[in-house]
Amino acid sequence: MRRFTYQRAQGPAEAVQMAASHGATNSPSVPSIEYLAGGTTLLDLMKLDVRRPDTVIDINPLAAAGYGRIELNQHGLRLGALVRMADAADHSGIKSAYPVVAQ
Amino acid sequence: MLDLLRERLGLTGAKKGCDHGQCGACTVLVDGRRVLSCMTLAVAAQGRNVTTIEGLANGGELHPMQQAFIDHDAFQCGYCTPGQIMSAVGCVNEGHAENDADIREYMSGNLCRCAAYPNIVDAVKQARSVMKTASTQ
Repeated sequence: MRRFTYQRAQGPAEAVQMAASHGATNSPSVPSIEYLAGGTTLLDLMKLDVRRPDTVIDINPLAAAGYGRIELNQHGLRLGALVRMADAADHSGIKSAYPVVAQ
Repeated sequence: MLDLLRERLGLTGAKKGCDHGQCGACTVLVDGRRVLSCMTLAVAAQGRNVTTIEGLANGGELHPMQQAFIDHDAFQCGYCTPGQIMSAVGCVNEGHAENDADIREYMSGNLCRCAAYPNIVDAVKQARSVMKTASTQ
């Protein structure tokens, strides 16, 4: 794996600011950044040298800021972007109301 | 994390099988939760407790899951075994080892090419009982 800089964002504003400070664009001439959540795809592609970020911004702390929340009510089901698949699959409400999602 | 454990810290218990998060041979516990160390950045685990197979025994006394794998011949070549055992400990602690179907489902991320699966299920059931007894004492 290529060398990269690792940063950890504590909140959404900080995550956006960190990326902006690196001049995140799609241009090949500026340093590339990637957000790291579960990592299943990103880390795999980095090891294969397919993705080559200069900076990786870990957004996992955002789970504690509400992005890891599962909300289930009369309006439906809302999964935070940082909800772990295992947690969704094991959620009693999802298992009873949305068994296909749990599956 | 897997490379750090194996290459820098000399903890070669966690195995590199596929290195793509598909086989489970590298499973470790981070703050008690099972994770694939090949798909985890070591730096992201800063300040957290990482338990590998080397840290499971209590001094000279094997963890009930290790003993159960021996008692039930729950391996043949042994390459996947450290990952199987770490995953099995997580499986029991999560409460996902209450019946054979659950054990098979929640251990399905750990492949065994020797196909020791029936014995692994038996081992998990034995260890589950011992671990439950120990936790209520």
